[in-house]
Amino acid sequence: MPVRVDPGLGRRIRENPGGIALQVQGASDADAAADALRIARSDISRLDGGWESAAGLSPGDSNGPTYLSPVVPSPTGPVIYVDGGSTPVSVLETIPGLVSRRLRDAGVQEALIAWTSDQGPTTQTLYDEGRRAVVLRLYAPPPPLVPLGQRQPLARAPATWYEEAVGWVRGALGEDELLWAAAGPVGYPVPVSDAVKHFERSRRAGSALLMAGDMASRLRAADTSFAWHQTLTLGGGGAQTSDEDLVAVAESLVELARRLAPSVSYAHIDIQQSFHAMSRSYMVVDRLRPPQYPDFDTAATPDQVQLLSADLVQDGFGYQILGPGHLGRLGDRLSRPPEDVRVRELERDRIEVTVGEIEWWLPDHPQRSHAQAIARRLLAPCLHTSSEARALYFKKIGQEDPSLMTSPAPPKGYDPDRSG
Amino acid sequence: MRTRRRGRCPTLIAALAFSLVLGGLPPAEGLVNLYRRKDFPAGQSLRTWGYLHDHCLQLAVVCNVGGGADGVLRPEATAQSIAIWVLAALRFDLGTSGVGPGFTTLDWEVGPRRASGTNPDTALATNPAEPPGEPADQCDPAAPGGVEPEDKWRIDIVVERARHIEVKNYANRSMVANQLLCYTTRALEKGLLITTDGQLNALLYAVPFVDNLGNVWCTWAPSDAGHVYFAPMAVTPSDAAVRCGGPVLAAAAVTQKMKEKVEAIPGMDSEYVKGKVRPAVTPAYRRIFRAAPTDYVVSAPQRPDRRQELRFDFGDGTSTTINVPAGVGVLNSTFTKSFGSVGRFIQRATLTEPNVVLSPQSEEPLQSAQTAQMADPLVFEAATDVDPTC
Repeated sequence: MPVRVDPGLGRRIRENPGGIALQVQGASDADAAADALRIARSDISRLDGGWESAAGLSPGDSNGPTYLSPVVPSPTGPVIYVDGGSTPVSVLETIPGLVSRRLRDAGVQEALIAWTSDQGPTTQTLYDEGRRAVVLRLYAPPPPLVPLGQRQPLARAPATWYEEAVGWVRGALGEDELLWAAAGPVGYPVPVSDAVKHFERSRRAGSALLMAGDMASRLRAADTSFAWHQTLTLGGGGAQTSDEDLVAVAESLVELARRLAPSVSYAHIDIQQSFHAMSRSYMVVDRLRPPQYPDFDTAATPDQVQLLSADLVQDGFGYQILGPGHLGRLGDRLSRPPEDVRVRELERDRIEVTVGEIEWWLPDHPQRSHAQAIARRLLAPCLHTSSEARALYFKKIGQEDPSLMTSPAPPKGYDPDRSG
Repeated sequence: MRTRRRGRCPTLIAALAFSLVLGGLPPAEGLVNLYRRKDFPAGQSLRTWGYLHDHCLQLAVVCNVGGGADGVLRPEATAQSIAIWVLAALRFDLGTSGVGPGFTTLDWEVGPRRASGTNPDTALATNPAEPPGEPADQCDPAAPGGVEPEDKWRIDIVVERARHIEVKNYANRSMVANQLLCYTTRALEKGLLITTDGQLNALLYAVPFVDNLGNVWCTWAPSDAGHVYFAPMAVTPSDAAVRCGGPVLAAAAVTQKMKEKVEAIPGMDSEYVKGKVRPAVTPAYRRIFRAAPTDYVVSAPQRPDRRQELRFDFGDGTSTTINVPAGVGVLNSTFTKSFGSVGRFIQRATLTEPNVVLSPQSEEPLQSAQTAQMADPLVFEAATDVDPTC
């Protein structure tokens, strides 16, 4: 069987040019197929419909894909994701041919180039269908910030994080049940013995997910991203999980967080209605835009906090681990904590701050808003707006924020009287 | 100080409703290209603007291949244009002139400028050796054989040269986080710090649009910073569908009935005269200049067979719910709101079945998109009359 292209692939590309998810399935040589797809990725990056193929372009502009994911490995075959942007569909339709040529060049005898097939649950499944979740997010110490224009070093969490994560997720595995992994848009079962390696193997995919149990009552998941800021997020719960069970899940995550405390810059636990709260860009709306914030400013977004996790906090939570940077900002606030706040010293200058009882943080608990108000007041020096977080970043790197430069004049030749 | 020219002040939402629901209008004659290519001023070598046709960027038509009123729909470009328009409206009082060149704090299609004279066939760059132990990042430039992909990423929307937004088909949402992180990484290497924008998320942004075939779509900001999704209404998650679908029905009757009294700040925005009555329809941004009582008159069409509830979201985290009993007429309701702070808010009216809980932070199934009540788009013809005081 030679290298073939799924006959339906062209239609899928035409229907979804902004999210082309292409996979090489059943390759006779899996490693060679992955390498061939990486080279084809370079070919795809050079696709160009020409400057006249989209509105508002000038000679010299190109019109090609706006994003190409890394080649994501999976047991069912390597995957690449392409955002075609405004590229003419006729140009995007050449992608399978490019991949096919590179596969043949690499000596791959058999393969099917197709749209990714759903093999198992992914982050999308988890966020959409997972209900009632206790979520622990651990932040790896951010790498030293470098001046603008230089390549930012990447954060790297210690291997013990993944071992702890796998051990905790396995707690939801029932007899004869599978452990599911996902990298990008593809989900697949993994042997328990391979679970830790799954995280390492997924570095090039940018993120990795592991989950076990069922959506109803004993769902557990671990999600991590690999970047110049790195987080590991653990979530447990399920739609029919009782309040008592959620509290028990939270307690198990507190224990895990304490064990990893010396290697985190910041950590927090919350209980939310949905596993969507595991998303690394998730934010509750009332935190994003409190009434006191000025126009156009919001709370520091999750990626800003991840970048500055040694200094800032995302929100006031029922449970958090803070580091020396936070303590420097909080001054003596923790030496005489307010009522309902407990402070505990952990290893390596980490401090655990608990507000109220864990059950107060259940989504519908009458004490939740009270506890959250206490936590936000207590941690106010570490709660920045987006613009304040930005200013802190530039202060740390000792540079001026180029976005504050004076706006340029309108383009030459612009006639406001002809503006319609 | 900004001033607006008189005679160009149909409200944001009047234009939005007209344009989005009657998306098949022929393109206006004589429009000039307002959106010329420009360089990204703060970056070392980035370029911005373009790729979106003037007519769809001005919301005169939904975005189609070729830019005219006919042709194949480009839903992503349409959703991108709407988001740009609303972000612009939050900062500037836009009239029919739309987004113009003076508008320098909002950019779209931001990416590296192609090297002059580069021949794609010979531009294969050598991949520098990866430092030992250094993993690939989200953009993963490494490829075997010394072949490195071209640096041709482009960001959908950049706000104030500092924050970015990715507009994505809801079906592809799982890829957005890595995509945004890739852009941040690449922009940083170009000398720019661009992190995610949270404003549309904070405002519970949701806007419906209708394509040339009459299909209703929804574009909205979920609880993920920097994400904006779009989808056919039939597959839109229920809470977003309520936010998108409700306003269509409510606005049909509310447009000319809702009033707001806006207190002016002397010397600014001269068309805002104390006590002047202006229409505001949902979803609309609303400027609250000071914490003073504001009057609203809202009308909702009754249904003969069932009771409904009209929920008015003030955009500041508060809302009011009005009972709309079964009947064949139009229920008029008047209420006053005192805002606790100044600011700009997206306000919306949502007409729902009783017992439907609106929970903007939850993805719980509330009501199926299929049962979300949608207005006949033609109703908007009558609803888009411009306030005579403009």
